[in-house]
Amino acid sequence: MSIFSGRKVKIGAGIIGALIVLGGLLWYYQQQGFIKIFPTAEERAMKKILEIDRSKFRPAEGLDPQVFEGEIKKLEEQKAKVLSDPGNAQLWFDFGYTKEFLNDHEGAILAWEKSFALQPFNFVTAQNLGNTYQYFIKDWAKAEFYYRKVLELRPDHPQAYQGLIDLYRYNWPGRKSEVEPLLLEAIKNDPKNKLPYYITLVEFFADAGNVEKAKSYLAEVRALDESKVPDLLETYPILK
Amino acid sequence: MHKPNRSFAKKVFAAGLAVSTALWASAGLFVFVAQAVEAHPAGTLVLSGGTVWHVSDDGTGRHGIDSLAKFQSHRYDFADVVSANSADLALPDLGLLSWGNGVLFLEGGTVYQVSGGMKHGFTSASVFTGNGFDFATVIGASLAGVPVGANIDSTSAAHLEGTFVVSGGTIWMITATGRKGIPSPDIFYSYGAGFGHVAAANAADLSLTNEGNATFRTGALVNDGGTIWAVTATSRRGFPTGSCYTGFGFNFSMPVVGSTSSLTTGANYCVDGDDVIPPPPTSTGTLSVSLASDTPAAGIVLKSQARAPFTKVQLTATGGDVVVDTWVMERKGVAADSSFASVDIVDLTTNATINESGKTFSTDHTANFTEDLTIPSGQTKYVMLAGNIAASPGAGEQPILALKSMTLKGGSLVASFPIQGNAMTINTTITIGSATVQRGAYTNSSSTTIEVGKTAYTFFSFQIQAGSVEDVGFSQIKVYQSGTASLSADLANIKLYRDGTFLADGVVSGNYVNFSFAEQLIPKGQTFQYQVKADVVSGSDRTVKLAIWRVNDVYVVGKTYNAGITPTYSGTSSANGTNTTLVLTDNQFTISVGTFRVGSSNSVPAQNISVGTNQTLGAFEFEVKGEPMIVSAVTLTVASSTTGATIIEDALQAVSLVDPNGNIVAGPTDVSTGSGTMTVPWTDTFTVPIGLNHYKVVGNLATDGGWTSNNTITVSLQTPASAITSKGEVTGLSVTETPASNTSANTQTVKASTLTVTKNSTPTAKTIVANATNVLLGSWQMDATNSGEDIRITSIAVRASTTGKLNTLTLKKVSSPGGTVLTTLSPVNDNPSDNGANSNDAAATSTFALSDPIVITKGTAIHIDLYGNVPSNVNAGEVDSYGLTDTATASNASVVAYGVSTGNRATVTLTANDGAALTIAAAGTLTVDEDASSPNSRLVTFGSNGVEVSTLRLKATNESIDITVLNIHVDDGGLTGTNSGDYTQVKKLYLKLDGTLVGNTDGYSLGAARTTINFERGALTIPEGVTGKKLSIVADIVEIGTNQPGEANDDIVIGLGGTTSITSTGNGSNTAATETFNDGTGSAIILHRSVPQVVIETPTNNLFTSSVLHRAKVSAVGNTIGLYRLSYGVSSSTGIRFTNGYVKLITCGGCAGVPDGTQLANTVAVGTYLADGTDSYSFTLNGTALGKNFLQIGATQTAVIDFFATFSDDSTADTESVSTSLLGDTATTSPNDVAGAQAAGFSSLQQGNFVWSDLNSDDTNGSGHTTKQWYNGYYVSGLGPTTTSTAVTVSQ
Repeated sequence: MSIFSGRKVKIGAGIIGALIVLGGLLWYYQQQGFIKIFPTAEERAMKKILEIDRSKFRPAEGLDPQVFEGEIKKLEEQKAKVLSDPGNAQLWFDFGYTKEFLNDHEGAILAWEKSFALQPFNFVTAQNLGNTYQYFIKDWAKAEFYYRKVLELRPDHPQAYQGLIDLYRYNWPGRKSEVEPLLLEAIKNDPKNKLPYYITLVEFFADAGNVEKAKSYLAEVRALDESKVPDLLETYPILK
Repeated sequence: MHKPNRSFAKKVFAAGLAVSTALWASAGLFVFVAQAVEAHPAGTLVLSGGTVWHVSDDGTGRHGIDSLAKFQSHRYDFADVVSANSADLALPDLGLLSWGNGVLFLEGGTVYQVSGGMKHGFTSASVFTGNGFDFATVIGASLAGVPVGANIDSTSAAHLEGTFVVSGGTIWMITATGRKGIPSPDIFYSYGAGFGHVAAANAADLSLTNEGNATFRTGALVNDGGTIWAVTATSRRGFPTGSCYTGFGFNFSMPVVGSTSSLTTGANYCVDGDDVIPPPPTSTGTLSVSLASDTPAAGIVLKSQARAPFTKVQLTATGGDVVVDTWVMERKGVAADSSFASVDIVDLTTNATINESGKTFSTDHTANFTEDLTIPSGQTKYVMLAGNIAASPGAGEQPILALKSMTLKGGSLVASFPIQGNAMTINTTITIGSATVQRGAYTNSSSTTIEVGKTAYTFFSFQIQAGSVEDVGFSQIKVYQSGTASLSADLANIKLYRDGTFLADGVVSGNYVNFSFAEQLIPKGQTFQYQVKADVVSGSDRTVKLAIWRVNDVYVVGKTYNAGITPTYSGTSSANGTNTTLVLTDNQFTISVGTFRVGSSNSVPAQNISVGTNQTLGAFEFEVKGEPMIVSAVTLTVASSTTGATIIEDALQAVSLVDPNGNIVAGPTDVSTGSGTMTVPWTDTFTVPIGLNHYKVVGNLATDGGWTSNNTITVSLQTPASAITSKGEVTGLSVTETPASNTSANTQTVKASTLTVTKNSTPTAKTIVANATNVLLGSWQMDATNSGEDIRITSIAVRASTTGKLNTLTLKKVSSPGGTVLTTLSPVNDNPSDNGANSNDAAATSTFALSDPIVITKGTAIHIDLYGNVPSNVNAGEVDSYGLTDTATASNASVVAYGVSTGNRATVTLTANDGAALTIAAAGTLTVDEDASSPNSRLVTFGSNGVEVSTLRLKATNESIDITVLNIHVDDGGLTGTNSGDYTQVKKLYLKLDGTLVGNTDGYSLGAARTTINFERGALTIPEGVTGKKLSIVADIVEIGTNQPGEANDDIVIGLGGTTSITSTGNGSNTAATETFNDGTGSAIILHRSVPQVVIETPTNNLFTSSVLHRAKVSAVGNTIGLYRLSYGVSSSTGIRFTNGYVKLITCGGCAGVPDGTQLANTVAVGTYLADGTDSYSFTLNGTALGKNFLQIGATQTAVIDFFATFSDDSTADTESVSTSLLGDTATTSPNDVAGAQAAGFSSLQQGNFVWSDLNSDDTNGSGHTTKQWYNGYYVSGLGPTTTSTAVTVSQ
């Protein structure tokens, strides 16, 4: 090895060492809040949520293309707003709302989950999450989780009950047995809507051929609103 | 001498030899080495030099068997092959054995039956099965060289020679010239056949000449009452001693059990009466003996070391097998004989000693070994001369073990004796480890009931404990059978296990079974448990008592020096340190005869039967364990509810017992009487196999036997032990059948053949549409529940009142009326015409003569539907109907039915019915209604997704209907006091059917008040029926705020606009359906940034001077709300008036800092007259304590607000009560700005009882209440559109 090549090695090692020291210093100062160079894990997660990927967008049927483009532009504006005030749950909600409108359901969920984390008492956000998980993502367990979150916050929220009825009655295999307890819970916690809940119980048991149960709940319907009975009897002759 | 083609035999017969060799080892034939000087009995199969020979039937010669297939063509078994002796080989070679007869072979995809020296191919599978053969009995083989005979292409021709056929319980053997009866199972078995080989006889078989009964096959060994005979067709010869018998190589599992009394008795074998002196086996080859090149190098041996290897000797046989007769080992070198406890010769092929017990040196320092060892021709074996070192040998001695001499049983010996290895130095300072052997943890108690047939039974359990010095390796054990049962004949699958885990298969050699396996390392101080398990295949009354003969039969080595250890034996039944007694024994087990249990079988339940032949009278279950049972007599007892024995004796005939395969095994036999008991005495012989099998009793109920409906028949076995005579097939011993009580089959009830036909309630009178296919026209139940036999329906004649336009009338067997189709019946009929009468009063008949009759199992019912197609040329209003109308019972014309068993016309009970009136319609109708569960008008927050705004109930009549167009309307909700909303308030719409989105799941954007949605055919189908489907319209609501389209207090309604909003097509008619629109416009929703929600509770306190009269919980849903006014209506039971009303915030937690307990408004001294007995109290929440001019309730927070008032009790009765309502608003008039008004713009009792705001513009103290963003209680959740909410009552 010549003397020159040995010197090159030393120079290279010196440069590398200096870069390491510099990097360490920058990291230290960022940790101390003096400077900001490296993104944090939270920032990386935020970046992912705020990602705007046009390939994931689909217009609703009949949507004017200009409106569609306008919504995407609005999404960009909402992103900027979020970046300027990332602790604002409403801004995250709005961002997710627009993504949902553009049919980017996964993207909407990410934004709404962020919004819900910032504002965990906002049951509207949880309701939207439950609906999106059920009707689009088809993740039954997650849908149930968010509907139940809604009911923790507002035990009398009829839309959450409606979502859970769809979930248990139609979509989540093997969970039909939970429909009746759910509706009885709804009747207890949301008494102002007990009539549609009782009607749903009549329909549920009549569809299943359980005439005895259907008739027992039909009696509840009759007690609340006699005028609803004829339609039900016409729809379900087995209850006559 | 003719010699079989050895090369061919090697190729073709290799499998046979392999099997033979395996059986040889396991069957212990090496033990019973042929020793008789006399040739084997005629017909015996003997093995010599890899060739199986058949001693001719007259005993004067021998025939070579040159292929496995030929061996199998005689139904021979390798278990029946014994070693040839010199006398056999001295018999003249008579040439190759001819082919056997009757056996089925598969060659090249064709099944052949070999018979008459030729192979006969079956032309089809149906011919094969039609001849009664079973593919399970076909043997795959090469029949090369067998001439091709005539094909078998008929099921009516007589079976070929060698076939066994059965008729009426008798088995016949077809011969070249006729047929011979098989009088007993033992004779049958002597031909190597099983019952699976028996085919049903046909008429041609039975027309063959009856040549009398067959006798045993020549060469069979027969156990006749304990005496074993070798038989020919006409004679028998006995064996005077057991050793004479075994000397021929026979074992005790070979004989069949039977009677030989009809045979001529010839001279016994071994005529001298002695246990014959065996001739020296013939060694024909040359044995070369030399020191193995890898004989152990000079080294040390340790005191107490077992099987210390000294000299390895190589033995090579050439030119023929060689049998070593004797060995002489000599101790040489500088040592004393006493340094050896004993010496062994170890066969390194098996690592077992060839000598049964260790040898000691005589005074000339030699030890003699007399055990034979066979070295097959062309093979090399190695043996090790090994020493078991004494406990106190001479230290430093250097002994050598040498093979001094040996002798052979014939042949030549090439050796240079002595053959000796290296000297070993005895070391007495090193102590090797120890191992203690004793009975193990799995030892079973002694038993005398080990049934033949028992499997995997632990006969021997032992444990080995490694001493504390070193780990011990265990790789071999030699187990001795000291009982009377044969290891090879009575036991099978002898295996060694460690704690239930398989280790090794045993190799039986005489009374020993050897196990060699990969070394088991037993860590020092630890104990391992082992089991020897075996199956019991025969040996009744014989005993199994397994043991270890001598100390070194358990081969263990210390792992430090790999030095053999002489184990110590301890514990129960152990005797340590001797080679002359058993060092460890397990308990004794006695093999018992098999068992035979009888029980009632529910395979034939209590059911109805009919008069006629082949009626099932009941069933029994026979459970046999251990060995098949040969039944020679059964007495069946019959009881009946008919009066008198003579009646049933005449009425019940030809009673048979049928096995699980449907074969008659006993009978048919008529009922006989004796002592007033009706019995069926069967004397047929049949075999009941091992396991649980069900046997049916069938018989004929004579049509003139006087049977009447509801007569019963019960068959029984009056104590099986008395009613059945049987013996074990293997043991030949009689069996006592169990239980010791009577066993009855289920009672059968005699019924007539009946069928009840009933029109099903489906279809009802209905409308059917043109072009519809597969329309349900009629449905009937065919009920044979009360029939005594299965019913066969051959014809159904449908009475049709029709214009004749419907077509493709098809009967279908279905699971339920209109349900799953089980069978579509044939033929398909055109519709008969009523000659234009066009009335269901006129009739024509459509007769379905069924191609495949319907069979209804007795005790069951079926449903038959009639389906048809509706053509396009039908006219609306035409009426068709289809029914069954004949009420005759004896020969019903509508349904022609017969009893399956009797063939008699069944009695049909039919209620005439013309069928449902089917009215033709041009197309289906789609009805649209608002579903009962459709949501009412309500407040909804902006930004909500998935809001169900309208739920429709869609029903299709006459046919299922596809919706192809929906026109969604979004209009102003029309509610008073609200802003007029429109489609701009809806971001997207979805359609939901049964909880799932339908149509475009990306949603529908609304560009106008009317939005048309198109569907492909089939995308949205409403099934025919009164229930229909529930279709929900779901909306995403826009947001409100800066640059957002939401307009506060907008109301909108979303739904369908009427019949013009929907287009649909019938799936049957394929024409546009008629739409009937009853309702479906939806209910209005009012949109806000946030909304209040009110829940009213009854206070828990009683009424006293100043008490809580009402509690309201007001929540902010969606965002912050402001509350400006609350009003109450108060009425008492006696009209008393209250004073000093006020409202107080009880709790909130999020009301802009207003503390709990704050009075929210000024006290109202006296209420305002509202109605007689009712005052109103109205409170404006704008006090300074609130911080604002209203009560602000944060998003999702709930303010609990109580209403207090004072009253004076002017009564002593304490029966006062007061009812209080929170007042809402009806908005029947709207004095305010519909987009919102100032808070003060509302007046109480004038649509301003409950005033709130979603604060969509301003929530400040200064101007929030003056900004036009306030609303009344119209449709507020909990108040609704009414003035008076639910009243709560407080009593004294």
